[in-house]
Amino acid sequence: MGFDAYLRIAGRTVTIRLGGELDATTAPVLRSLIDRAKDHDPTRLVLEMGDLTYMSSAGIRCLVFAHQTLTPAAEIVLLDPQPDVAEVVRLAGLDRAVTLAESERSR
Amino acid sequence: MTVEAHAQMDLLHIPASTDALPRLAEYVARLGDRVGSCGGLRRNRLRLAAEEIVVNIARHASPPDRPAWVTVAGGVTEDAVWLRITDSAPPFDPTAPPAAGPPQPWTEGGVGLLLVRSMVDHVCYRRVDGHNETTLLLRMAVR
Repeated sequence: MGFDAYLRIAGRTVTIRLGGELDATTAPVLRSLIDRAKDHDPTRLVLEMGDLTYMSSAGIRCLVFAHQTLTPAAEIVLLDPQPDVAEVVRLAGLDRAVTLAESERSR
Repeated sequence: MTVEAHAQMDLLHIPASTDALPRLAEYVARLGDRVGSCGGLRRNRLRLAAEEIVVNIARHASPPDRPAWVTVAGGVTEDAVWLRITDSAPPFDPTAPPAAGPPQPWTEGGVGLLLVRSMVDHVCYRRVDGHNETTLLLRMAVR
């Protein structure tokens, strides 16, 4: 178990790389990074999820927070989510608000 | 729904607090270890549903300075893994349909209970002797 998150800013694209387990104990970390991302007024928020092994509804709430916090035109991309993480996103109906995508190297 | 009493694991007693989630995760992992065909993905389903129940108690029925306590029992049958979560919080039925009105799965609590019902094959609730008793059952076979 464990959790790590790294923030990267390039122009108006903010990338957050996530690894480990995103649950009620670790979600505040992601939420604070999304808060920092907001300060850069990004048009694109990319969450790299290839190393994220678990996500509970606390992670879903973080995505909802991002959706409600960033400018309406901002695109939120979930990159390379593992199958069970992607399943949680879909079951919550959040795939209507974010884009699930695969990177070139994961194909 | 009935579950077999055999092959039951030791009970886990934890406060209804997010701080206790790692212990709950470890308990579910040990349960999954006893079932060879319960792959990681389905094991995560049981863990997620159980965590949502405990987080729900922590958020809505457990003051931080005086957390409610939760008892978790788990076991395996020939074709399923089950968890029974018992708490002394006020009555709350996670199987009850959402309040009338347009669906709002992203609201606080709403998404968690939606996931509970989606992640496992059966959710059963009973109010017994002043306690909530929620049983989650996950079948081994891939749906």
